[in-house]
Amino acid sequence: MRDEQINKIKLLSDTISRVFIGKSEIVRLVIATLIGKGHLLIEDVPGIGKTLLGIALAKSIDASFKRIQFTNDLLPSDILGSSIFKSSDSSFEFRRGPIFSNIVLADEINRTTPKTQSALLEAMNDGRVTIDGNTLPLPELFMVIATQNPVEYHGTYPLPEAQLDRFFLRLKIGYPLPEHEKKIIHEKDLYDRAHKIDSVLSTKEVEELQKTVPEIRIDESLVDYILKIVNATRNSKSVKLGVSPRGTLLLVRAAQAYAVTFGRDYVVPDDIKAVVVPVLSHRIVIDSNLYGFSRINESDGIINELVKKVPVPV
Amino acid sequence: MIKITRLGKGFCVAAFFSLFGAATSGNNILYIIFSIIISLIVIAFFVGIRNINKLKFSYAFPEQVFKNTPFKLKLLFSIKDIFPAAQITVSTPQDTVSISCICRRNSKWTEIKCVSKNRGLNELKDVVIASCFPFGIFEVRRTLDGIVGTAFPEIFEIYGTGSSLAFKGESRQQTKRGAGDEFFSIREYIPGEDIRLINWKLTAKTGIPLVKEYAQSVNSRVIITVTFAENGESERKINEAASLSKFFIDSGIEVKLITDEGDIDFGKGLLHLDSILHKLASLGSGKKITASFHSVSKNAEVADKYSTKHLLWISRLAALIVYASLFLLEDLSRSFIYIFGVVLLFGIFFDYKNIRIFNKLFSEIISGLFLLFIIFIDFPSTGILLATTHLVLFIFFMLILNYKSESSYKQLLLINFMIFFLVSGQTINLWYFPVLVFFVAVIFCWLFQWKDESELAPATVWTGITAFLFFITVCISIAVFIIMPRRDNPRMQAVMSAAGFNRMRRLSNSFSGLTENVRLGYYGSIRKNAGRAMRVTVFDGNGNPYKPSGEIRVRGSAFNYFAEGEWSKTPIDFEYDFEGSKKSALNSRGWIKAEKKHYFIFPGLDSLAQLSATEFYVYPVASALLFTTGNIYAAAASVEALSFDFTDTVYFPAPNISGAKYKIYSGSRYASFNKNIPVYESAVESYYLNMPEKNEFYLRIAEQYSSGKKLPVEKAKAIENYFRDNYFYSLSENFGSQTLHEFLSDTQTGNCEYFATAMCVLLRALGIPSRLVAGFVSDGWNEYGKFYDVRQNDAHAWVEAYFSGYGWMTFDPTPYRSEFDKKKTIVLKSIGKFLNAMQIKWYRHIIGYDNYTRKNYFYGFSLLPSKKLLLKIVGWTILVAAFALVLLLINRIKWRRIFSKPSKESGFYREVLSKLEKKGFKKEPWQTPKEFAEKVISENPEFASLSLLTEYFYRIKYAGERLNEAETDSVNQALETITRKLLKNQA
Repeated sequence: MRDEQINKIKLLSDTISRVFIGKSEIVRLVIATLIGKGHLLIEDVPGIGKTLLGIALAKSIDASFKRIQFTNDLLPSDILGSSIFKSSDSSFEFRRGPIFSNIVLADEINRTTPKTQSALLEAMNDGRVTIDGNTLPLPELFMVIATQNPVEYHGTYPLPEAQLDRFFLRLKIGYPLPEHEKKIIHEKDLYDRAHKIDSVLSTKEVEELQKTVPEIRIDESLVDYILKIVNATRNSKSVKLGVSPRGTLLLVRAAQAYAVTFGRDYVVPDDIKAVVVPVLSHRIVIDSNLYGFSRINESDGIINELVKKVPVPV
Repeated sequence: MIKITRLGKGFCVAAFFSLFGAATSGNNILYIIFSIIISLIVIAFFVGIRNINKLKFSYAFPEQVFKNTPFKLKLLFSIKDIFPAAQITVSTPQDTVSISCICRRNSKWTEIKCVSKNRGLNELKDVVIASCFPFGIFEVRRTLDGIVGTAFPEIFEIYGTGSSLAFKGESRQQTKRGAGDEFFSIREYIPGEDIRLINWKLTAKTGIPLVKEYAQSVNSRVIITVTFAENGESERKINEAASLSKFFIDSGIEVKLITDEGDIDFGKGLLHLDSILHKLASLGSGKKITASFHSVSKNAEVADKYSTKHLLWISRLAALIVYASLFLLEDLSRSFIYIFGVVLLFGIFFDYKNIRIFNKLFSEIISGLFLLFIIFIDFPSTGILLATTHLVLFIFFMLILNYKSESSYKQLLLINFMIFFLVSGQTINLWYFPVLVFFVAVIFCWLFQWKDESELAPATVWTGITAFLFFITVCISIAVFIIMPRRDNPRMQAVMSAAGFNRMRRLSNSFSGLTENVRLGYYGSIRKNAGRAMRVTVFDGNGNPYKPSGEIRVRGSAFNYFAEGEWSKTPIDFEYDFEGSKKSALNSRGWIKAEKKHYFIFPGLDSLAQLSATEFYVYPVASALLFTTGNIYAAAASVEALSFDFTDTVYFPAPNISGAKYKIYSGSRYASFNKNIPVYESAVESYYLNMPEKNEFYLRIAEQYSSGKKLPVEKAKAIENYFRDNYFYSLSENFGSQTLHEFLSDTQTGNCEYFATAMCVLLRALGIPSRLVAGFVSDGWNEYGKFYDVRQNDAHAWVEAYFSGYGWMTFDPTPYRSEFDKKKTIVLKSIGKFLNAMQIKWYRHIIGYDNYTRKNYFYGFSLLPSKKLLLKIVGWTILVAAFALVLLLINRIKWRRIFSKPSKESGFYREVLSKLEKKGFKKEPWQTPKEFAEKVISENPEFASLSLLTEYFYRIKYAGERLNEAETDSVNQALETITRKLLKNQA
């Protein structure tokens, strides 16, 4: 990695942290998702700053940003776009939906019907959209930040496992610490400030960073460490379905991307530990007989417990 | 059970060949090789057996083991002794596990896959520990006895209940709330329940929160009956009963078991299943311990595995050492060896870079051509030994250029062995010894069977084992070397080497300065040669070597006839006393036969009292002379007969072209062999008074030099002194061709020969019988070896004169002799002397070791050691103990720092971890180093430098970087800081 890239990364996280106060860990993970070419699922209560995070990220990398509020009457065409009859020259004109932007905030994704959900998720997976037989590519830099409310389950359509798997990381933001909250109070108009952020990275530079991720050195012992963790989820009694090989690959990539956010060109065990819960917790199926309905907290706890059983290679 | 491995067989063959070679050639180097191989075999045998048999084990049989299903058996190995057990391989037919080392303080748990073949109590009979430690010569195996555990019956999958087994289901249909599909009832929502349970439709209808419940259908009870019959059927029945029990209990049904040996009442759950399975396992034959045994393939050497990486480097090292040893082969041309060295380096380089030079066809063609060359050209012209050497070197050369796989590394080592063997058979050089030590060390490493293992035993343990084994090997080798019976016949080797002759062959380096006739001026040329002529050790009355005062005079040949500038002997027949009777000389020589074996008593011996011994190691010389130190009464030399002539010169029967080693015994007084013959004096007068021309001239000079003296002795002394005081010594060519007349009348300058001749002639002119003696005068005392180093440039001539009533007396008229060695500095001289002494020790004690010397040593050995020896032993013991103590201290304090750091840069982190752990800061295995550092620092901010260390450790370990010097310094500094803080904390 070049020095200038290291500086840019640092600048990016500083810029976002200035409006998204007190959650530098989360900011790092979000940046890791961005340069790891992944999508983000944030599962937390409303009012915690999910949208703010999305805006700040988009603005600071000079990317287009769209927010879609998901409701149960939202249709796929509301996301992807639709052809509209133009009476002037009696032809159909395709009007692009909000998905054709670099960063899309899909708010409360579980509020909408599976049909609409899958339209979005397909687009996320393929990087292109097919409407009326026309295939249109999405921007090269494309990241979806989806949010879910873990408390309100009435009238929701929870994402099935297969679709959860599309998300690179699943995050919980959590409440800010009192001193940070105090700062949030004093810093007025965070939203305005987020909108006014000057970009510090161009999309091109982000793409360059994305290319460096696979080059990040990961020591053989750390690969073994990752395999041990993954195997632990597969052999654990409390986990019904362990992490798939895709999950393993993404864990490696996430660790590499996370290392990049520190400007390092090698992975250390701390990187793996930092990303292991966000990467793996939504990829395991836990035994519901043992662990009731509430899922995110439980699976996070299981992953954490498993990680504690695996010795770090020294 | 102990079994010899392939390598071991190879070793036995090597032992046989080396013994064969040694016995036929008498070369003690081959005996050394033989001794080493034998000691390795012996040690491998005993240490190997001990290694396996001292191992104690305990085991943990898992709770749930099913018949014919693999399970992991836990084994705990421990050892009570101070000696660790090493390189253990644990194996079952299903699995193999290696353990590198088990020490006293370090028991090892290991897990191995096993299978129980029988139901009920099983004794596992096929858990085997094996080891090829230490040298891979023997594989020792031991079956671990007494591993007993219960295996449950075999369980198979049950689909449905169509079994032939008798089981009764009480089909009492009972519905129960639970996780089913069928509707059961509706009830009110109880606050606190999960809100998601609420059925919203019904709630909306009624306005009260309602919850829908579902029913679970249960066929709740099953009785399984096993009737027991003593035939094969019952085993199947038990298996089925077990499978069914598991099936039912898994589906939540209560199961009751009825057997002939008691029942187990209804119950549910895994615990109940456990008790049912236990019951079934112990039914009938299950109560007896039965051996569970698989047919193990016996041929596999389970413990014989090498690490290619190590083999590679050991092979390269061995190749280099063998290459060095080639220089000891004097028959091999030097240019060949140099070219070979270049090829060797290239070979290693190409191998390192993984470049393959020759393809197969090309190398085969070359090999074929070379073979033809060897057979038709090389062998007829150079002989079998050299041709074989060439051939082996060629194979070596091809392998070096082509070796790529593990098997070729092994081949390479084999070739190395062969070359080394060839070298051993063809040299007796002192330099062979260090090469041998290196080679043995390398082979030691190889034999130590380094394996690829993640977990290595601590360095201290390894060094301990290695040092111990090395010590034993050396001891046993020495013992075997000493007690091996030797044949007496091929002693030629020993004689040559005994002479300190560097080479095996009678090629160069022999000294040729002595002939039957001596010309004037001749010595001038000899004296320019600094080559070694002989070594002389003088013993005192107790048989210890000592330094006599002054220089040593080695008497060679004496001459009686001088004419035309040339000294010679005239044939004189004489009579002599031998064995009590008078004998006459044969061809002007008197002969004496050996008394006892190789002992000679010369005539003229008065009594054996007061005799002192002098030992000679004479370099090969084209002369049969037996050198003495003036007078000789008896001699010990390994020939059948000796002869002497009228000039008291002693001869061997044949020229000593291969050098000679002998001892002479001389008394304090000079005597001639035939002085007891009454006519001796008249004979002396007739033979020792001949003069060259110009008698008057010499008489005049003689009288002038000895004027005023009356007695013949005084006259002789006066002449000697006159020469010494007034003449000049010179080795210059200018004075090498003058006549005696010119020397006396004109130049008065010349070499020793002129002086001796002149004095001789002058004495004869005065009527005193005299003769010229050629020999050596040396003051080259070697304090390390306690011998005189006589060189060719010590050659000298002097005079013996006969006085009636006294006998022969020695005079040396030469005034001064120059020294050629003076140019060398003292240090170089001292090193040279030291090496010289080492060489003579090597030849005397090792190469020249034989039955004869052994007898000598053991006869000389008394049970009560002398005071001096006792002191020596105590001194050495103290020295060794001190050395061991120092090693121990190093071991305790800085071992890790000294040895592990260069090998692994990140060693410092382990060091700091162990230090912290001792003080109670233990890193949990799941903690990353950074987390650990944060925790420690948050508790004890004084250890802030730990974070620095962690960062460096990360960079080394995970980024693969190396620290530069400044960073290494800061690491050391941080280490020191932490150590100091820890010490302070403790205080």
